[in-house]
Amino acid sequence: MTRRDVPGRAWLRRGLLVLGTVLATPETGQADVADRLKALDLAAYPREERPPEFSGRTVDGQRLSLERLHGRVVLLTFWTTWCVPCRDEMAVLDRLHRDLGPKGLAVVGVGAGEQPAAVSTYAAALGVSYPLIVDPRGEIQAAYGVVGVPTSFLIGRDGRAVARAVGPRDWDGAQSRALIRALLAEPIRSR
Amino acid sequence: MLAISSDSTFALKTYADSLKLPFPLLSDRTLTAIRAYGVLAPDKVRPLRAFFLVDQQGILRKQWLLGLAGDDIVFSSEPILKAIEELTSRPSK
Repeated sequence: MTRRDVPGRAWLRRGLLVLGTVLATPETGQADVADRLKALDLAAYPREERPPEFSGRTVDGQRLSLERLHGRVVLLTFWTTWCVPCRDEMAVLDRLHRDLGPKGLAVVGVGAGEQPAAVSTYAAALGVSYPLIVDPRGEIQAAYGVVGVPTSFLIGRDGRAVARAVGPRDWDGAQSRALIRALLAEPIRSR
Repeated sequence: MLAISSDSTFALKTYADSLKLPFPLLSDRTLTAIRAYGVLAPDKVRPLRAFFLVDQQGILRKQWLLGLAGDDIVFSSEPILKAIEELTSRPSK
């Protein structure tokens, strides 16, 4: 019998693996998220904070609500057609949507105070593939207290508010992607 | 300085963060304080914009009632700043 075949050693290895898994979640995951929020200069919400519910119509006429996105990590971003940093950020968000959308990320844009025709033209020109909600009367914008664009909110799979970003961020960078992957790894809890 | 709004705490956090406000914003979802100060708009939903100046003894010294947020309000902060200066320059009893 070689060293590798010792039965006790195999059990010990399995035991350590289980212990390591137990220690890695969920506290380690939460610490990981907290560190990444700090690195990205995102304002974290208390664990129990819930974002305002919303329901709106997308530029292609579909109804979309926060409730329907339960179970996905949501990156909700407020923008306008006249905002130059928003334009740059939209290309980045589109890449993120294409890459991580199939893994459970929902990128949703809200055209704050924008008319449907303007949003439609703008989205077509930029080739934006993630859903854009039209908010011509600024109702969703007011519910979230948005007074500057871009302003974005990260929402966990369990529907809790995770963090807020006032101003543009490098959403496609390594830190952001690691943060989103950590949120995607969280269990879905019922509301 | 305190500011009271009928908006949610969630909205006020974003607002304060965006404008880097150095004073607290209070959320009055039940409109209790807004009614108590008599600044609920006729539609019974929205508060009017208003300022109240309270002295060190808790006595209301001055008030400025402006109108609904979003209205075309021409507003100067000068009279308010002047009243605060007058009040703070008085020796407190």
